[in-house]
Amino acid sequence: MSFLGRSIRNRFPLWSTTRRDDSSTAGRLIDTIGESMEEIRVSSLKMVEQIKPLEGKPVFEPSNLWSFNLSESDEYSQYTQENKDYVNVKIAAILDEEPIQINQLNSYEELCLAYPTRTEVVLEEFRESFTLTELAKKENKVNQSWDFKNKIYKIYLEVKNSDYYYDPRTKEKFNYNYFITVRGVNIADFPIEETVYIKDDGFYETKNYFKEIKALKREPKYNIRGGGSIEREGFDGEVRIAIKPYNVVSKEHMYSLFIEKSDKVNDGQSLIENKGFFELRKAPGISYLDYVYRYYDTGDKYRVKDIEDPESFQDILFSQVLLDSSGNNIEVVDYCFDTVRNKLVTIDQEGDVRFYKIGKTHFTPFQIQRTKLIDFSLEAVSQQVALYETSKVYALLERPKGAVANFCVIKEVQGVYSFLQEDKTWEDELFLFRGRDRLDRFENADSFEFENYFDSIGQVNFYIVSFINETTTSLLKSIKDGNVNGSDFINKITAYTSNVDQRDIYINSYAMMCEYSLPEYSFNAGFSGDNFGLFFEGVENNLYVIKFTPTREELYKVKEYKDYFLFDYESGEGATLEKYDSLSISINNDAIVEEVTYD
Amino acid sequence: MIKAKRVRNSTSLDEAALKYGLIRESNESVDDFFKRTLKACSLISVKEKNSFYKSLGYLTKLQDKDIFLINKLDIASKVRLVITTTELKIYDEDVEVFSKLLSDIKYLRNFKEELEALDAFQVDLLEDNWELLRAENLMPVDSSRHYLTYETDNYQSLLPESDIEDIRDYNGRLTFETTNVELINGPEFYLQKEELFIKGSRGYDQIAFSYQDFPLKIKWLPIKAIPLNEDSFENIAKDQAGNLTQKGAKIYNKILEKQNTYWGK
Repeated sequence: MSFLGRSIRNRFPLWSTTRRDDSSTAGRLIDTIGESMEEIRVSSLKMVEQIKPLEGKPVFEPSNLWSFNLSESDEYSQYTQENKDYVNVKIAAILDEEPIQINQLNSYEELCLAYPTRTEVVLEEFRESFTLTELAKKENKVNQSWDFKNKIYKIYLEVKNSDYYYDPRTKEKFNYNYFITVRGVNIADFPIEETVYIKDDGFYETKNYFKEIKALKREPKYNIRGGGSIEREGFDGEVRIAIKPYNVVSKEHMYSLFIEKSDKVNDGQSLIENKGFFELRKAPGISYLDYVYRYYDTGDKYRVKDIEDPESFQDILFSQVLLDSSGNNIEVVDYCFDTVRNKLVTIDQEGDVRFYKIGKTHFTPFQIQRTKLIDFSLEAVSQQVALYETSKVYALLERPKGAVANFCVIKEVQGVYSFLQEDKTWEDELFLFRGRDRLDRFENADSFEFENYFDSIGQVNFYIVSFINETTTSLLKSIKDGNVNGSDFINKITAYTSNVDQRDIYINSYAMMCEYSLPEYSFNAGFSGDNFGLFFEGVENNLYVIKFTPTREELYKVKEYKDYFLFDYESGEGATLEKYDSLSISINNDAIVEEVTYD
Repeated sequence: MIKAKRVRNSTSLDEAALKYGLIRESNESVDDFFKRTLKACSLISVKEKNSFYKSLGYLTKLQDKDIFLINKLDIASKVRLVITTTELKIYDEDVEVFSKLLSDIKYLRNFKEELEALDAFQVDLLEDNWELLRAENLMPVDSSRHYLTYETDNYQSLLPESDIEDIRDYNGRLTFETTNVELINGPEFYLQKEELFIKGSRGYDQIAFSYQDFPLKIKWLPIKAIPLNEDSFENIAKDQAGNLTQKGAKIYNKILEKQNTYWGK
């Protein structure tokens, strides 16, 4: 579920359910529209990324195709002239003298974004460590050199634990520049000096590739100011400098946009919308992905000397538990983002690589329909909660419309109902709270709160059922007589409230989501080891795994093979991504079969 | 039987590279092409003595390779290493002490042995699988280099190279390697501690300097190129007695076929 729906809903007033309740009908409808808008937004951001291939950004498309044209065969041309109706096409491929299944895709976009059908893991290189060095807090300069021989690397910078970003009060004549400068030699052996601007703690990379990192002297010819090999300015945090982007626990995702219900800080510079920031949180036997909202876009606005706890200007919107395809908890050791497929990718201790969709889980419709009029509304601090979290839910008396004789709170978890008891625990037995007996009927009930412990993933529905009149409701009488149990009660109120004109029972509904994510695709990389690093890199958007051994770090490239084909019946043109020994193409249930070989 | 053909699918990188005149070959991976394009982007904008030779390293998918990193064993020595299109030459104090045709050296493994035998250089390897590459394809290089226009800072500049042999300014005010305190306070230039260049006046000036470019990177080119107007071309076209060889005649005839109006004196 996208946050863009939230942006539209924020245009509604604060009292509106559309704005307040993600699980409301309007909330779900607008979030669906937001999801479509998000797809367009991501697509346009990808277009922007594609104009940067010289920075090593992915090209988003396959570099080569194997193309064939069946209309070269007279038999095929004659068949298509006589049979205009296309039924199906099936291709049987032979690879290394073994049959291999290849599947049809309907569009070029699907082909570009398809998951691999086969993978191969190959050792690419190894080093003592792919992390070059770390700048300690307040350490401003490194003069060490690193010669990568004939290899070129981007430099990745992880900035963390900054206490404050300087301003003219903490540093004289400071002009609000926050950067890290990397100096060295590029692929053409020319000296280069790149300044990476730092906006807040997070993860950054150089645009240039370096063949060597070293201190440089001033050289106007190449526009080099000169200085240490790595220098920083403007902030005091720790900086990890690496040649591969691995083991970064907290990072921004360029395509994600987080939107809050309201700007809680509201100081003129704070934001209601900001880029998505993610943090991997590990607990024994379970892993969470925290969706962190930052109220400011730059660190200098809140990581300043006067503020003791700058982290209080960040909120965890929710924590999503990451599961395997069977729904079991896993221990993720590293994660990264696939910018081409726009997915979250994780690796666990068994070397299993999984691809997840990024975003909130969709709410599904309620089993018990709410009534048009309501007495109470339900609201929690956040509708998205983490597994094993206890969350408070507030039942708020809405605009008083009349007396509340009795009410009950129902919880529904995967079709199983339980009822809130007087001691605020949940039981299978129905319990009716009683309204107060006041002369002023508008004072018959108060707002109240209750808690729920989320011990399973998925949607939890809450209903609050209120009875207006004690005397005329036959249902209420039968409840009091003890003739109605829990499931009868649900059936009876559902039947009773199906009459839209009734004014005796009001029902309001509210859902909360114990956030989780199931993988869309997974494969085992065939590793055994204690720990791994995971990242995508390069114009071909290759997946890499770094395996840690006691003596060195080994870099493995995951080669992806995609056994898919595209085919156009009318023109007879088709294409595969991989090379095979031969193809046997069957058209319209073996009406015509053509053989294709590869050059 | 229908044949499937490999076709190059034009990506955003191909479009960007086309602006630099580079075209990806059909069986070239995007990763390799990216490195080639990156190299071209850096080199195309800078014109220097070896620009042409360096361009041979990125024009086709056969890319150049950095093979050796050569350093002087004795830092103070005035040894100079020159690779022309046909020869390896070593000078000591401007006197030629070694000369051999690259065609006679044949392979890079022999080239390394020749250099190490001179006991003047330390040869470090930068590439694997280099031994049987042809020595004739080494890129011409000279360890003695000249920096033609360097813009100095106010009062003092740290020159970008360290093994400075000679400095020239355009006003004739340079005093080279002085320790005279009076000169420090005067308007002249002088060089101190090898690479710290000091001048007594404020403002920017342009100077030129010569330096020894060690450690020297030796590059291997996939395409061999020889300038016809270079003396060393004689080594290819003629024998030791100065007579035109069969191979030389063949080259001249091929050139005449292409450019007959520009040929001859």
